[in-house]
Amino acid sequence: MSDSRTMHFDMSIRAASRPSAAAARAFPARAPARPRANALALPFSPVACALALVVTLAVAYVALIATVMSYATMTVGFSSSLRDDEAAIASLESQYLDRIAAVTATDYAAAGYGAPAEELYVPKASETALR
Amino acid sequence: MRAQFRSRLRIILAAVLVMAALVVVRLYFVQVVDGAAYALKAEHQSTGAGGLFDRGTIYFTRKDGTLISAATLATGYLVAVNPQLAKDPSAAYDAVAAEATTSVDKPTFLAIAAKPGQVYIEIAHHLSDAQGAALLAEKVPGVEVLRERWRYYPGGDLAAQSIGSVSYGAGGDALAGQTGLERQYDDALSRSGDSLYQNFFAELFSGAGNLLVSAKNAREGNVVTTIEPEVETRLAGDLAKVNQRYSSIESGGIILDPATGAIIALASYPTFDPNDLSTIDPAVLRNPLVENAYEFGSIMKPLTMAAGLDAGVITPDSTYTDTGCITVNTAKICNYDLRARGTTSMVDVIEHSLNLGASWIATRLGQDKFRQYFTRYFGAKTGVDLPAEIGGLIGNLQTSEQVNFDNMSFGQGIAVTPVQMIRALAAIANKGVMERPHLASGIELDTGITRALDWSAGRTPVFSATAAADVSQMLTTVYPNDARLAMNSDPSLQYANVPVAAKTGTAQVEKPGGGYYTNVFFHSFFGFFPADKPRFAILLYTNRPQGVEYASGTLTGTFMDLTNFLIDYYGIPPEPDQVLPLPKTVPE
Repeated sequence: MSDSRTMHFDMSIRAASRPSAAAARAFPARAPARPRANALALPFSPVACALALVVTLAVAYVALIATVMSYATMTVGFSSSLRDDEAAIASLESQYLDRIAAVTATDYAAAGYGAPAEELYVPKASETALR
Repeated sequence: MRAQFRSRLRIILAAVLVMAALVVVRLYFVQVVDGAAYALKAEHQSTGAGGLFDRGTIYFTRKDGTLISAATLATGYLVAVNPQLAKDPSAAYDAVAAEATTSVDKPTFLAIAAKPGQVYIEIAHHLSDAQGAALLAEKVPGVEVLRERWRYYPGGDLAAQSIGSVSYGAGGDALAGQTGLERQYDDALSRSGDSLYQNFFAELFSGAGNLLVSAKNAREGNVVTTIEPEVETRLAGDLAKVNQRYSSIESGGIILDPATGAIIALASYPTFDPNDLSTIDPAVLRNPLVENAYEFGSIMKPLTMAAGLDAGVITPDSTYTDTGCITVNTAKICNYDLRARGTTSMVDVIEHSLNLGASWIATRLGQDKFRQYFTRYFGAKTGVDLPAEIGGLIGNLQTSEQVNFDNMSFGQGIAVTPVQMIRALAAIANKGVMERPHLASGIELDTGITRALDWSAGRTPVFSATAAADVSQMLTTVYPNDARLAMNSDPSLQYANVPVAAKTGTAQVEKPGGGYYTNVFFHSFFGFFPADKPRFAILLYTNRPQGVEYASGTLTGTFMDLTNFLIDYYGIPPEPDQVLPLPKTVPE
C-alpha cells in the first residue's frame, strides 16, 4: 500500500514539479546553471605557467649567449682583418716611399736630361695642406 | 579553454625540443666531426706567449693632406718548436731554416731543446704569409706556426730619430715607445688590448657610462705629424750627400713653417733603420736636433742685429768704424779675413759677416739688455714634442766679461740646440714672434674624430715687427753672393725665382780642455723664403767638414737645391725680376 502511495506521491511531486504548458510558454527553459567557480581559482595550471616561464628564460639565455659569442667573434675577426689590411697598405706605402727615394736620388743630368729651354709660369691654386 | 591552452603549450614545448635537438646535432658536427679542423684554424689565429701586439699609427702628411704611415703594424707569422712533440728537433729546425731566417742558431736551439720540460722555443720571426703557408703545408711534427704582429716603419730610416722606435724597456715585459714620437705619444699609441673581449651585455649593466664616453677611447688614437714625406726624403738625401762629400762627423737640418712652427722636415745623419735595431750603435738613437747643443757661429748675428734695432741702440742706417781686429779683456777679436773696412754699415755687418760689427752692437746694447734678449731667445727649451730635449748652454750670459758678450754676439761662447736656433731665427720671418716648433698636428681617435693639438700657447714675442723687417731686408743681400759662388762650382744649381733671406755661419769648434781649434769648424746655414711673405725657414749644419773652411762652400748648394725643390713642389709663384745680380767688387 505504501509503495503505491509513494509512487502516487512521487508521481504527484513529479507532476507538480513539471511545469505546465502555459508556464513553459511564459517562462522558456534555461540551460542548467553551471556550478559557480571558486573566486581564487586560475583558469590554467600554475605548474604549467611556471614551466612555460622556465622554458622561455632558458631559450632567452641560450639566445643571449649565442648573441654575445657571435658579437665577440665578429669583433675579433673584424679587428684582425682590419690590421691585416693596414699591414697590406703599409707594404704599398713602403713601395711609394722607396719610389720617392729613387726619384730623389736620380741624377737627371747623368741620365741624359737637359734643362728646359724656356720656363712658362701659369696661375694655379696652391696645393698644400700647409697654408 | 584549458584544453586549448594545454595544446598550445605542448606545441611550444615541441618546438623548443626540436630546436634543442638541432643544436645538439650541430654541436656534434662542430665538436666531434669538424673539431680537429676548427682547432687547427684557431691555433693559426692564435699567438705565441703574450698575445698579438697592437699599437697606433704615426702618419706623415703629404702636401695634399693624404696620410702616409711613418710607423704602423706588419702581420705575419712566427715559428716555434715544441721539443716534446717533435720527433727529431734537429730535423724540425732544419725544416724551418729552409724556409726562413732563424733568430736562434742551431746549436743554441738544440741545447735549449735538450733541457727537460721545454715546450715552446721561438726560432723564427716576421715570416711572410707565403713562408707561413709553406711551413704549414709541410706539417712538421712539433713545429707551430703562429700569427705575429710587429712594429713596422715603411720609410725605413726616414726621420728615424724623430719618429723613434719601440722596444722592451727596463722592465722588459712590454713593448713601448723608447725614443722620438713613439715615446712622446706612447700614451696615445699604446693599446691595452682588452677592448675586443668586452662582453657587451656585461658592460651594459655594469659600466653603461663607458659605452657612451670612454676615457680610453678619448686618449687612444693615431698621431698625425706635419712631416711631409717627399720634403723629408729630399732633406735626408741632401744631408747624406753633404756628410759623405765632406767627411763630416754629422749633419742635420730642419725645415719649418715660421708662421706656425710646424716642422715640415727634420733629419740628421748618420741615421738608422728602426726596422732592424739589432746591429745599430745605440749612440745613433739620440736625436741631435734636440739633444745636442752647438756653437752655431755667425748665423747668430741676425739675432744680435734684431736685438740692437728693437732696443733702439742702432738703426738700419747706423755705422761704425771697422778696424779689422779689436782687443777686449785681453782677448783679440777679428773679422774672418782680418781686414779693416773703415766706415761700415749695418747691412755690411750682415752681408760680409763682420765679427767686429756684431761686437759693436753688443757693446751698444750693454750687458743687461744683451742678457735680456738672449735669455728670451734661448733661456728656455722650445717645448718641441720630442723627448729628452735639452736647453742651451748660456752660462756666459751670467758673466761680466765683455769679451764673452762680444763672442756671443757672433755665435761663439754660447751653444744651443738646432731646434732652439731655428725657432729664434724664424722669428725674423714671423714679425718678431717665436712659435713653438712641433711635429704632431693632431691625434686621430679610433672613432674617426681628429683631436687637433693647439700649439699657440708657446708663442713668444721677442722683438718688434719693424726690427724683423729690417733684418730680413739685410739678409736678402747675402743670398746672391753665396749663390754665385755655389753656381760657379756647380752650374746645375738654379738661382731662386723668389727673394731669399739667408745667412751662413762658420764657427770654431771648442777643444775638450778649453779654447778652440784653429782648423776644425762647425758650418751652418739659415734662410727663409719668399723673404717678403715667408713660407719656409731652413736651418742646415754640418759638423767638422773636411777640406772646406767656410759654410758658404759646403752648405749653399744644399740650401739652393732645397729652396728650388720647395718652390717647385709647393707651386710658390715666382716674383718678377728675381735674377742673379751682377757681382759686387768686394769678394767673399
